[in-house]
Amino acid sequence: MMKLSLKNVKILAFLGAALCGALAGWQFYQQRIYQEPVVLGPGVTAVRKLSEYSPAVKGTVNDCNVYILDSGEPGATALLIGGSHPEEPAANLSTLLFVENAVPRAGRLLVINRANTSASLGTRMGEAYPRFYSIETPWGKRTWRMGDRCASPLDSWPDPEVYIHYPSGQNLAYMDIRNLNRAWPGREDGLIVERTTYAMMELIRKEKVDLVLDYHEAELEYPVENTIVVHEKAQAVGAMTSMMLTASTFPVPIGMEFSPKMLHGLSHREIGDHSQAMSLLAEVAEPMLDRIRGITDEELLMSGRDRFVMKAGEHKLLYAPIDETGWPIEIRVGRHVTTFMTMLQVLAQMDPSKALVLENVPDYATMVQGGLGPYFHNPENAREGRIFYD
Amino acid sequence: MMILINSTISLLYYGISLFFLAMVFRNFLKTKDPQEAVLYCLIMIPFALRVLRIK
Repeated sequence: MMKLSLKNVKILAFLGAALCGALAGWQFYQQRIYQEPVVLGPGVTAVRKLSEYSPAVKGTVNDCNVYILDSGEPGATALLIGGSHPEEPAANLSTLLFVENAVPRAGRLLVINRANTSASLGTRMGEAYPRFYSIETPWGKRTWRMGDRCASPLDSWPDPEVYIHYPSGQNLAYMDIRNLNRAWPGREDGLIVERTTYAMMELIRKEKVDLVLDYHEAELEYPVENTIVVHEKAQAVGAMTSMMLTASTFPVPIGMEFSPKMLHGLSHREIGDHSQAMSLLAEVAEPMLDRIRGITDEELLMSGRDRFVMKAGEHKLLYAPIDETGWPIEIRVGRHVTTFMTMLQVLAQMDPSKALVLENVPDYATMVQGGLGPYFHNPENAREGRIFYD
Repeated sequence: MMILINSTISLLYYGISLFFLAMVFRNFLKTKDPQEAVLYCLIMIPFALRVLRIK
């Protein structure tokens, strides 16, 4: 057998490592530069940058688009936040569905699809997540970036030893300084995620937002599941929404939980405490986030079907039911969209001057039966000036 | 001021990464052990990806 000299071993090892690094690096780079098209629906009247509300995020990757759907008629102003945790795709798909379809007849709707853009530019390390996911539409496939829970270390590095939340002083885990839903209400001169939440708080205050809903997904092993978490100001809206949907629409009930007063950094607590808005957060089940899941691929992400998670359910180890149907993306997005629409209904019943009327939004049954494809439009057919990128 | 401090610390960390990358490369060149040479090559990948701002 031929014996390699030390020099040859070194050359081969170096070339092998360079090849592995280049292949991996190319895949990471592709995800980091992929831009998601947003085809503005007929209801979108303006698109602003978050930095227009606060220069704290100007020039950063988190200077996201704010889509404004203004009816021109009096009523409530609501803000929908998607992409707080970009590993929870039902959140940004739900907000996008409103941007591409909803038509306001009273009040104003503000939408952010990618609240933490940085976190959407790479997946969670060590989890083998798919880099992208797609939905079949009548015109072809539409593709989005799968992301991480926290902002990329490329945009916020290093983390502190202990993250001391501002302004409460509460100690949190070090990586939560990159977690958008631990960084509210933010800090003008903090790290990038703190500056992002600060800018969003400025948006909420300057636009006099009445209601903020932050969309999320959660593993079935987590107790805060299929629920609405509400600030004290939003108790009535949250309770009525939960009761109406559980009684008449959702086969799996949606609960309501109070935002803990002493747990800081979360949107449902801090937005309500630091602005005039009532703040709520909606959770829906995403089996791919469960630690006990099997193969982690796009199929699991979109179908929400996993036999290991099902087995855990058989042993009553989960906080949400699961069977062969799984938790497909249509159900997850359907629940989020319908939850918000019901909140608007309740808000208008409580105070008719706070009506936000949206038309052209599909109902739950239509989304579950017909899928989401028809609601995401072909970027190639978009009129000039009616396409943006997140 | 805080943003400037944070940016400076971040730059220093990139500098530290570059330093370690250079030191590992130096050890790779100097080693007489083939297994160590392979190991050094693998260790360099994450440092190189970070310095290049890819991962």
